[in-house]
Amino acid sequence: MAKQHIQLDVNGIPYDVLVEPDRSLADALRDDLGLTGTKRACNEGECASCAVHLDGTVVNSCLVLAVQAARHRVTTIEGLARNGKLDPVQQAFADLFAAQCGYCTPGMVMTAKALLATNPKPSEQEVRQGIRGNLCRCTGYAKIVDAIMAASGQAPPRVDEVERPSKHRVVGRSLPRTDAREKVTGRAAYAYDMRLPGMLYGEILRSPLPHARITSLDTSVAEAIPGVVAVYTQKDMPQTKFGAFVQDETALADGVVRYVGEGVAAVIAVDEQTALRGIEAIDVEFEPLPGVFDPEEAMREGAAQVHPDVERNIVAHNRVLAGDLEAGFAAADHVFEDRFVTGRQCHACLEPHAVIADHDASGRVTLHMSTQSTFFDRFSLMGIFGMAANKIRIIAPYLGGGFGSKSETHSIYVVAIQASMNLGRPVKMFHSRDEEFMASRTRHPEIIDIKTGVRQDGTITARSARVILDNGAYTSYGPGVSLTQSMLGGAVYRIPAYRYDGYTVYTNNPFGGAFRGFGSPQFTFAAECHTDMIAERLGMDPVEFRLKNLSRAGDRAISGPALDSCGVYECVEKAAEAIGWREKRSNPKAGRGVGIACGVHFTSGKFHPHVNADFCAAGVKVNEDGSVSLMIGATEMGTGAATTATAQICAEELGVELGAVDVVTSDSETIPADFGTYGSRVTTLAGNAVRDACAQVREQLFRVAGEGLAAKTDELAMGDGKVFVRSEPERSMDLAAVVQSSLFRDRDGRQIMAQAHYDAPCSLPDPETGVGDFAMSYSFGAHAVEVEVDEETGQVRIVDFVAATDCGNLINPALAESQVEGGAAQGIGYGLMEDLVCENGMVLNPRFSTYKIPTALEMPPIRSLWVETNDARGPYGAKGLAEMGLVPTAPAIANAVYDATGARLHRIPLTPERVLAGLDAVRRPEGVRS
Amino acid sequence: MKYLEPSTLEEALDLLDEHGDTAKVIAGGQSLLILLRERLVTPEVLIGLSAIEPLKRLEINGETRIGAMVTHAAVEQDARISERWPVLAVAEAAVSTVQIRNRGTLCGNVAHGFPTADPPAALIACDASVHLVSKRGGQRLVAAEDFFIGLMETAARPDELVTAITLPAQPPQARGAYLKYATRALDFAIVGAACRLVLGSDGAVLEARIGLNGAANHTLRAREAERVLIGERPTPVLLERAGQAAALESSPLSDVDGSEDYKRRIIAVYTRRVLMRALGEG
Repeated sequence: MAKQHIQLDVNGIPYDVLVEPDRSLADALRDDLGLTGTKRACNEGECASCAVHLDGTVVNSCLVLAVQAARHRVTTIEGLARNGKLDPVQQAFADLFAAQCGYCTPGMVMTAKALLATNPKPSEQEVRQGIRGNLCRCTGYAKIVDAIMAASGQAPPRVDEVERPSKHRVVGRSLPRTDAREKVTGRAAYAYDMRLPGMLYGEILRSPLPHARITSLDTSVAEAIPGVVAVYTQKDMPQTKFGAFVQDETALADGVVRYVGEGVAAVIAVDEQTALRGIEAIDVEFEPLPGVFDPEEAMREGAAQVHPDVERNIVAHNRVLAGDLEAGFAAADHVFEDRFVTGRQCHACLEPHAVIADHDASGRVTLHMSTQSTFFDRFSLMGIFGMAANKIRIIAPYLGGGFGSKSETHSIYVVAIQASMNLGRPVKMFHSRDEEFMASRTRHPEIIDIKTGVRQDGTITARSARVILDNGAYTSYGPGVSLTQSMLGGAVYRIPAYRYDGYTVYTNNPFGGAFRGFGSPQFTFAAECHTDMIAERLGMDPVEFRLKNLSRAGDRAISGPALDSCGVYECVEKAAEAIGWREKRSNPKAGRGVGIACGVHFTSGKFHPHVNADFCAAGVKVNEDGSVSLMIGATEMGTGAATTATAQICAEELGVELGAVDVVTSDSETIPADFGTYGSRVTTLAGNAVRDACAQVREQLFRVAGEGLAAKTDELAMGDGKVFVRSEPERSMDLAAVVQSSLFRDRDGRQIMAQAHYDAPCSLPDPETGVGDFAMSYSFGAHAVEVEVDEETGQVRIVDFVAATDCGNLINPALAESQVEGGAAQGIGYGLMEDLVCENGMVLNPRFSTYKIPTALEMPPIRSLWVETNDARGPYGAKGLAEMGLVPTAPAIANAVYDATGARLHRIPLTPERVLAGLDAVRRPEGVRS
Repeated sequence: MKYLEPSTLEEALDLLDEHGDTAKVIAGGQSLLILLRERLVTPEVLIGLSAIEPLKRLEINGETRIGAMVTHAAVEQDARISERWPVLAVAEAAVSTVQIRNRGTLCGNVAHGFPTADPPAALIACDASVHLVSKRGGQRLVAAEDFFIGLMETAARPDELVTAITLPAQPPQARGAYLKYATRALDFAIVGAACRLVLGSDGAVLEARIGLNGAANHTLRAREAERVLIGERPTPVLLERAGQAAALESSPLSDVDGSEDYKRRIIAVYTRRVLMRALGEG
């Protein structure tokens, strides 16, 4: 395609560029001008991450041709801040926690800016309408709407209990995120946006069939395309299979494709467009094989096998056997059994998976990648490539969301490394949006049969569950998901006897992996709908039934968890009270209903039978001016835990201001081993590592300052950037003086620094019974919602939402709130609309317009309430939070829909069509409710 | 592929004539660029209309004439449109997102012929016409209800350009509405219903126009539903019957948003509701 010469006026600067006529403005800005603040997340005009101003109006730059933008004024996020002064919209986003992962932020800021230019004082609803095209996966939009309202000079529409008294100086306060400025200016680094000199681009040709043998593969035409550097198939790749639990994956298909989207061949080329042309030119012939798409059918004798050596496709069977189940059911007055089915939710991170592999001449490979765990990925890649640990360096810049999907090896990593090794140049690979949907893992769909024995008075006597996980074509974290739900499934209620059987079953569907909640959302949907159904059958109020049976602090759950702190009872009470439970349940209105559900999730945990460890690490260094460098092994995925919560703990411990602490995260080479960011673990595990490292640093400082102040170390204290004598605070030394004394002059030349490794006190489940206290701590929550159901269409609208959470004590209340709000958005999506629909293995909705996540208009205000239980194990009493935010959402909605309509739905998402079918089934004369 | 930007309509028509099937016209490009990126269309020549000044005009002179380069946002925000053709203004505001409305054009939307886009039903209700021009065939006018033929298939021939949409002045007593049913506001409609009613002094329906998006593989005029209404006084039972008639004359497509049966039910509900809205009762 002949290039055209154009002049682009961007942020007032004229640029001469040569572009292909089909080049988008987004690509021209990002790749030709290096202005990567404009994000590219869907490339189809469906997310507005790439929003810029064209002659003052906001447009999606992916849907503008660069040639069309010539002679027009383009403004990007880089054009807003002047001389270091943020635009008021940027400032409000930074101050009010509106940026989490930051990937949607530039587009959101540009859209807000345009909105306020034409409507300086918008109402909250106008703001939500104005940003309805901007997708965000982290925030639930609450803080974004607040920030836009604040930028318009109007008070935020609601005042939260964000600012509350804290007995600490830094911890417990809603201090702005330390990464906020980088994110609101579009300057934050993401792997997807990075470039190295001489870099090549790789693309993968993916299977159009769910199960087929590759009978011929002709790459010659592709190889002949100018600019195509190499074409690879599995024979060019490492032969060692990989996978966290079962090693069943290869980088590219090993002769058989097992799901739509599996990699068949890879093309490495000088640029993205050439690589894409290359994969189109590959000629593949397939011989279709019989597939299995329903996990129950896959388990039958004689079903087609996805992998030759796995009978009935059952790749794992997880069990918990605790208590005398037979006696428990025998002691029951009633035994109720119900079946539930859950959908295939996608992570839908705004930033697609991305990697740049740079294999240098000394045999070291440096990876810049969007990963949640540099440690897991390095460990896995060491095995695949047979390389030493110190030859693989993984640097994770900011992640544009992860939610679990970026916590394991993806085929693009392996292909990029191998290609870089072969070609001696950096190779970048990333997923397109449809690859992100089809080939980057999903939440496992499950079929859950749950059975509970109860006495007439409502006391639970026994519970069993039989769960089938649709694993998809490869195993990933399937057995870990099952194990986690098996143990947490026994922890919400006091259950005398419990059995869980979970079957992880191969199918020819896209495959599941780790996803925020890790098994809890599925099981909780089943258990909490079942709970309401039991209460109704017994003629009890669902809240009363729960309160009668809930676990309490000090309990050891039947499945093993030691619930040293447990605020679920108070969560249910608070949520019910706040939603107006009693009043609304006793005054039913047509089409309106309230529902509640509660749940548990762990703080990290030992969910792999061969990994008896669960650690984070931190390094603390005090510099010669008294400033503090904090090194965190976890990556910053968007929650703020790695960059802000840990820094607050550090500042608290060392008696300095938050601004004195600078955080460096996630470089496998410079930071001690750390399992990374997943499992709601960073604030707590890394937080404890920070405390430990700070304690060591304090000792070092006291040793030096003690001599300078002629005081014993146990007489010293820290605060206000000084070490001082506790009884005579005016006898003090600035941190700078202490460090300089140690480094330069009086001493033996020691750096004030320490590293700490924190391994959570918990244990692997017993291999026979599956029982164990497998996590550092357990967080609880109750969601209560009020819904309005359109009884003619089945459409459900959420009008009120209360989330009461016990995550121990809060380190940063506003950050905690933003986790709950973002969790609620994913929970609402999971409950109402999100489902990757697969028909005989074919994915029907692999884009943002058809796989629907909530926008600002679907989100009700989220009211966050807290039950701070002061957990003994966590730093400052904190427990994990990030995942808890979505665990009980879907069943709370389903229970509310039942209350509104009498239609009990056993399957999520509660699509309008399913709700309407449910309504048809129970439709009665007006006014009569069952 | 080449990108050409003629500065007059004549030049554009010459180019279209010269390149025939290998050319594609791009106005706002909000649909076309997605098709290009997915390689569902692979033109050799892209003819951009953005330098043709007359196509950027939105003229109101009794009727309204909306040129090919007028964006959704411009239509939506024009106070004269919202006053005199409120059905269209509401449908335009319902289109996708602000980013798309700022760039996409009404004529481009119509030319794309997507069955679940918002404006087409409103155009049918407002009795709009589509202006087509080609070098060989000259000008012709096609009524909106005849323009939409199939899935992304319209009455426009390959060498024809949609240059404008015109809407006649609405009858003095006309009342209209557009109602959209979708999972989220930014989505394409599952069903989008538009209507325009004129009632006689006795309260009976003199004239009815109903347009339905999502009711078939193209936007259709619900003539059976209209027939139910004509000459009758609107009552809940009548509107219900009109809704049922609309459902019967529809043949919606099954997809991830719902089955054909489900959508037919929604058509009945939304036809009834849009009529109620127009009558000030919904």
